[in-house]
Amino acid sequence: MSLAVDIAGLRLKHPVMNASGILGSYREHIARLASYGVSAVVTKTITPKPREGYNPPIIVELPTGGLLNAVGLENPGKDIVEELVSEAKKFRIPIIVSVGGRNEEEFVEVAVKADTSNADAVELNLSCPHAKGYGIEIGSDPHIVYNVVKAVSSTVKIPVIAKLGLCDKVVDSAIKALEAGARALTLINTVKAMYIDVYTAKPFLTNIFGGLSGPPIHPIAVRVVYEVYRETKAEIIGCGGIYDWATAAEMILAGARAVQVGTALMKNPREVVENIVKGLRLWIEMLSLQSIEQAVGLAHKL
Amino acid sequence: MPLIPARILYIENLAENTYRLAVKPLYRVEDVKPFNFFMVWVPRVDEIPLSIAYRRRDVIEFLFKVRGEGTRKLSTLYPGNLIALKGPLGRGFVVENDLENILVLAGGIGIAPIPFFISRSRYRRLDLVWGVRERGELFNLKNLYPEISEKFSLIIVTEDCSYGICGTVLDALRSIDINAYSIILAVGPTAMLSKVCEYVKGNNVYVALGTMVKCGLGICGSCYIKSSTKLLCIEGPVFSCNEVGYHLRESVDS
Repeated sequence: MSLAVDIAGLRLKHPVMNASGILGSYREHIARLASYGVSAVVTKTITPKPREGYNPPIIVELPTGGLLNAVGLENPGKDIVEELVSEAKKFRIPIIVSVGGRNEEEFVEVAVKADTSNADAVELNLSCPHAKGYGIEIGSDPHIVYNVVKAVSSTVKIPVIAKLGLCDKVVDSAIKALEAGARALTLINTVKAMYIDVYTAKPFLTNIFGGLSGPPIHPIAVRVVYEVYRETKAEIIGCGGIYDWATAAEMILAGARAVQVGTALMKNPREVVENIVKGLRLWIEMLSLQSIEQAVGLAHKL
Repeated sequence: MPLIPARILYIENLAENTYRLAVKPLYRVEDVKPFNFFMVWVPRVDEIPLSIAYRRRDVIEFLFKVRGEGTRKLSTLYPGNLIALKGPLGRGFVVENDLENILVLAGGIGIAPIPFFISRSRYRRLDLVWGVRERGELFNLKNLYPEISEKFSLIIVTEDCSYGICGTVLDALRSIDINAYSIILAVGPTAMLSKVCEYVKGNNVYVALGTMVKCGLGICGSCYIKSSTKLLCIEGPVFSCNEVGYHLRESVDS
């Protein structure tokens, strides 16, 4: 019985990687992520130039569950990529560089850096909900998605993954990304949200708006994965609120070949990854399947 | 853990730019240990990592120095104003062994977590060396925390020789027989901690790193310890010199 999966041309020993945005900006972060037991590391979104991000508060756990953040794409800029890649190689695990930009040229600039640094893939962040001029502002227009993915995939040799977020046209954007050469899709990013402190009557985050992650967005993410898989049969990395084997299994049944875990890594990260992997193994056996790949999209066979 | 709203009970100017803040959380706070810290929200201005200076029943005290916009604003708030706390964060550090002799070295506002550390720890003897630049930074620790005043002896050091012993914490350390102590704990500026770790070797030497925490939850990675897999907000803020020697040297140089 195998837990290995192929996604975007990468062979992973199991389907669980970290979601971008959890650490991933420095060499030390990559080593820490590797110690969590993930099958591939995904870096923090890297932009051509360093970005400072927002002033604190940038993050808060919500009384309704989940986590709200507006870090503001803080990162050290593209020169860090080489160091991140070489660190991942020490641990012999694939590294996916998350790439951010305001236009095609900026995406290409960072993706080329990832390519020449021998990263295993790039994941284009077309969906950050809280950084002006980045992310969802470009990712919600299927034509821009096409242009960015096309520009990158026709320039770099390594596989291109498009990370899309929740918006009305997510299925259209997914189709366009695939047409433009994306080998896989990561679905979904955090969902634009806010939190108001009722005692001071003020919005909590410095940026007011942030991205909601964690269990509250899981059913939304499952729905998006399901719809996009139904329309495209694309290779999908499911992301959003996964915290145990069952929430991961649901993504796989909806059509994901691999999953990313973010918010759940906040507490006991090593155990979280290990428990998901162990649980998926038992689940595959329970379904009498030979491999995890046989479970991909199984919920579509009504 | 979600935010905990807290009401300011009093805020008092103790010394030059130095304040004592007491808050009463509106909800029950998880059990706090010495060297735990909170991200303290100053509404619409900033969120500042502050270690716990003292706890009396459900009142939590902080000692802080005005450094930037957030601490400045915090120092101007009034009793009755509401702020919010995120925490307790970090790993606590406490000594619970009646045989230990402890030397605590505090530089400047590095004194902040020490009263709580003293109140919660058990040991044979504790000597506290508190160094500041000049006497204007000092306040009367034993009067402020009478409950612990018998639990330690205090040596004050000033760099400009305006009070107590003349020199830096490091100068004082060089004149102390460090073999008399089974635990040495230093809290203060990075340069001081780096020198302490260079001067005294051994597994029993600990430093509490100054906070460069941004999210406090192990996600943003701002507080990573160079050349290690550790994060200050999760595994810290107290580390043994062995764990952070490289980090301290690098941080001082840059």
